[in-house]
Amino acid sequence: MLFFDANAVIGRDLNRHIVMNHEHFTTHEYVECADNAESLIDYMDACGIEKAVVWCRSMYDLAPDVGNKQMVQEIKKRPDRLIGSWTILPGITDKEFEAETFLKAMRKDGIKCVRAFPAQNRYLLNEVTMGDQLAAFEELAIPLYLSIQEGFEYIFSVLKEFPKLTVVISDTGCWSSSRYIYPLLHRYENVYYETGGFQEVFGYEQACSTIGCERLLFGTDFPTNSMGCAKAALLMANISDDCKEQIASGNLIRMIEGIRL
Amino acid sequence: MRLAGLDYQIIDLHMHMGSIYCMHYSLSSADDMSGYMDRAGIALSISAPNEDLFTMPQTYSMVEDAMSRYPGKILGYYSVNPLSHTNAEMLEEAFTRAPYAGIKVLPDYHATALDDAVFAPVMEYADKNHMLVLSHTWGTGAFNSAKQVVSILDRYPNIRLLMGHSIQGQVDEAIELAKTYKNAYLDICDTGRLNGVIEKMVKKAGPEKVTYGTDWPWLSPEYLVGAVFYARIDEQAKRMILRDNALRILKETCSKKLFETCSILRSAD
Repeated sequence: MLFFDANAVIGRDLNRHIVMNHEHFTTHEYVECADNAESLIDYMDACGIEKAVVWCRSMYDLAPDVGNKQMVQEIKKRPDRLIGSWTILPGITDKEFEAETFLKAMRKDGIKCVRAFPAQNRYLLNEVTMGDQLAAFEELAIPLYLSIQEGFEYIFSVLKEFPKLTVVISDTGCWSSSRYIYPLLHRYENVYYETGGFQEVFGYEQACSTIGCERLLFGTDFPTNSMGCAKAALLMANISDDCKEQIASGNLIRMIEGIRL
Repeated sequence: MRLAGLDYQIIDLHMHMGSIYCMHYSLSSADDMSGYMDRAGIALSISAPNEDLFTMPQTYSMVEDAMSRYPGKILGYYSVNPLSHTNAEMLEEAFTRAPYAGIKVLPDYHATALDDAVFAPVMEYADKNHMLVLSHTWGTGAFNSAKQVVSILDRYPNIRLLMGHSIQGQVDEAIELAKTYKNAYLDICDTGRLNGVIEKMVKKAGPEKVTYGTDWPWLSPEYLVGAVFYARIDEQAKRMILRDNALRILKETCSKKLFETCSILRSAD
């Protein structure tokens, strides 16, 4: 079975790592990080994970423009195994993030996915502030990763304005968030659920029977979680082998192949 | 499905049971627990049902029913709420009535410090009887951080104190305590998922001080089995975490009544 991690981080934290327990409760702890692409590949190899969609910690702790540049340098080392993602900002203040310019740069540097941290970067992820970019992402099926570290309200509100947006809900923490996430999966056909923090008891069985396995993406949320956690949870789930293969890599491959950038 | 190479059964020292306000999970009864244990390869668990931790007055009906219907497979913690002002007589009556494996306290959620005077009769009873005590520990706040844990370890040397979640937020302090105090143990419940933490626990505190617990049905046992299974530690250390340490602790702390009930403890003798 091919494992394709939908969400891993390169880079060391500014401080002790923020550990998601749930959307209103984080702690800070020391975790081992992957300083660069080579180190991340070592962790992936040790756990039997072939490929990963990655982002850089400096995008969050320092600044998106700096982290995005670092991202390009890291994925260049192993383009066969690492897929890059960039963090976005409002184009009205940060010109390189204007839709046309940003998309052109994504094409040039081989970036496939984007992330938004509106609370961290102090803006609102809505039509007023980010309309051009979100409309473009929606049209081109560019996956937008949204972390529950910034809560769920902004995810509900952006999808209300852009219902066809491809959204990957990520960094879900250890407590089950199904009461938030299942309604989104039920309502919006392009919403995906990355399973790095997915610790719900009978979670895979419940998710597959409620919303199907097609929009579950195997992820690790490394280094918050060691890579083996999510892998074992999927391998040991009582669902069909076909579903496991779709979750392990098939759904993510299909999502990436669907990008019209 | 079992993970290839994991050819022994696991012991889980930190389970719950029943519904809870803050999250959805589909199955949580004693029967569900028994079935889930079979599926995850868990031979023995110790449970503190949510209804004994999150409501008053406590009835202990769920845990005692589970222990009676699944003897030697589902064991129970006697859960203490500070509002119940538990004393030695109450504990003696409970441990005579049913084969409890230990005592569970939840200081953060009960907004009462682990070293508060209200817990003193409980700790004194546990100390006198060399019992297992599982305390929720967390590195934030003033109820069950390293400071309160040290206070208990200093005062009650005969208790086997299982530091639930290994004082997440102060894991380095928890590791130091496990290394320093022979009666302090690390619990990987949730905290074991953090990258590199299990390796650090084993390296610094020793593999004999690390135990497997899951919070079922709050959290998934399989997920934490993965944390141990794929950890960069040797196979013997993995087996100690997943099974052998728990067996040793239970044999050191259990009552004669529990020992007689529990075939896995007798067979490991």
